[in-house]
Amino acid sequence: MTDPHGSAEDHAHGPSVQAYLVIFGALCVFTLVSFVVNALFPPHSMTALFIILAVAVCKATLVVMYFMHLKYDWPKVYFIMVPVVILAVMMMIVLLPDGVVGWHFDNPLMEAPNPNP
Amino acid sequence: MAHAVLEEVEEGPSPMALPLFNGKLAMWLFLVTEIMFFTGLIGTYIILRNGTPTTLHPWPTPHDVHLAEWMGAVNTFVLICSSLTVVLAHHALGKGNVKFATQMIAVTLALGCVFLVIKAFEYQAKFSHGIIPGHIFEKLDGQTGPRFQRHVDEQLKEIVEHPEHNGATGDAAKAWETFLADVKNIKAEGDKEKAKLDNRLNADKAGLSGKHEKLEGDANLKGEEKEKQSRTLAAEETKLYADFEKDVQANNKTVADKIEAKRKELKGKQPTIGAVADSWAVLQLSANLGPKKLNLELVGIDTERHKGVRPQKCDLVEGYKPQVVEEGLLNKYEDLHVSHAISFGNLWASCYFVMTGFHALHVIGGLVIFVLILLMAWRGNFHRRHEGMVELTGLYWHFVDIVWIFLFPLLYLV
Repeated sequence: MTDPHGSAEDHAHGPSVQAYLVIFGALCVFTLVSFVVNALFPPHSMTALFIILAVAVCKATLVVMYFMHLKYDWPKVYFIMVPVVILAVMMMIVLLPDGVVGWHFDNPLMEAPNPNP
Repeated sequence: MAHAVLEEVEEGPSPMALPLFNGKLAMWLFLVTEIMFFTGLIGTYIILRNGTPTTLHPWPTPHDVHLAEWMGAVNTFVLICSSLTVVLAHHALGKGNVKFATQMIAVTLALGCVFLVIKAFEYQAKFSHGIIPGHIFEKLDGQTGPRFQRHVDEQLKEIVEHPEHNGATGDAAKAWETFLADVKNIKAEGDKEKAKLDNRLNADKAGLSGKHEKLEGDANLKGEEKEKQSRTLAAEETKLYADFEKDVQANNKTVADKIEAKRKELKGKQPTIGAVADSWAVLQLSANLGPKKLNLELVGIDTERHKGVRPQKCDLVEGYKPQVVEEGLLNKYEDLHVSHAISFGNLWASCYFVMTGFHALHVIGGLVIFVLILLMAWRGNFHRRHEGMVELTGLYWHFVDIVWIFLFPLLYLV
């Protein structure tokens, strides 16, 4: 099941314990930042939305790059990752037209005609 | 020719082989299908979240749906910690430190369990407030209004009948029983007073009709004089009814005042019973309003704001405040187990339970693998050569962490 050569090689390129702890600290700080930003900004603030989502992307990138070793394994797995990123973006685009479902709510122009006028 | 190919395979990896071991390739392939799965869920959520709400019917806030941001943040922290411990386990195993690796796996397992326990508390809060897809009242127009009213009345009755479910114990529960007995007595007294008033009215009515008959039978009186006396009698009768009405009102007010005084006294004495006493008061108010009318105070309906909206459907209420109750019972006692009316509550609950539910299933899957690893270690069958396995488990666990990294801000914050 496992290939000792492969993993030993991976390990040689992996980060040190100190690096892992630094990443962990950064992830904690990021979590705190998103929590504080949410508390400080008024609800439905676009700035807060942007910051919080950017922080989430940063956190995910750190986890993927260092904890999942993608930084070191990229040449080995890019051929799996690139198609899935394209497909994921395409799936979001395919879902986008459903954004109009809200048009049916509270829109007098979209009211169904009254059957008993 | 065939022989040569065979030899090449035996010597080393074919030039067509991938530069990573099979398990890792399989795990990454599995993870990309998982990415597609969660992209579908999260994408659908974002579309619904941004596509449906309007100013009139906004998306529920975390407060509306009993979602505590700090719980989500703590869970994020717990998963990040577990990601660190699993990566440290892999690192230690690579260095040959099996004991430390085993300990780290055990810590990861414990952290995963902590995550699920916090999740269970969160789910419990939803269930106890009726935040379940298909069970949430949204628009209160048409027939939904009275149904919501009946539903809330049933919940209030439950609170009044079982004050212990809302934190009233010992003395408070006893005080509550005393209060209910007092109310019964006051009402019985009021009924007695009402019966007296009824008797008085009947006696007076009998007297009047006697006078009336006498007047009719009196042949001596002339038409004009008879007319005059008849009018006097009619005026007397009107006054009689007015007096009766006034006395009944006064009696009702006395009863209500006495009950209210007792209720205030009770609340002053027993602060824990406040929510129950207020629920009781709302229930009385609701009973007085009648079954066909919404208890506006409780539901927090803003009739001014939504005037003219969908008039053909708002035969019972002219509009409603989507964000639950802003003044009134539910705002005062947030933990009261009474359903809110939440616009888009069902859609929110569906999204929430599907996404967090699937994520929790993935967490459980990871925990099963950690248990298996610990069993291997317990049987002395966990060595440095299992580094690849721990790495793959770690890859899966980090993915679960990443999903939560996105779910937390999307569900709890924005």
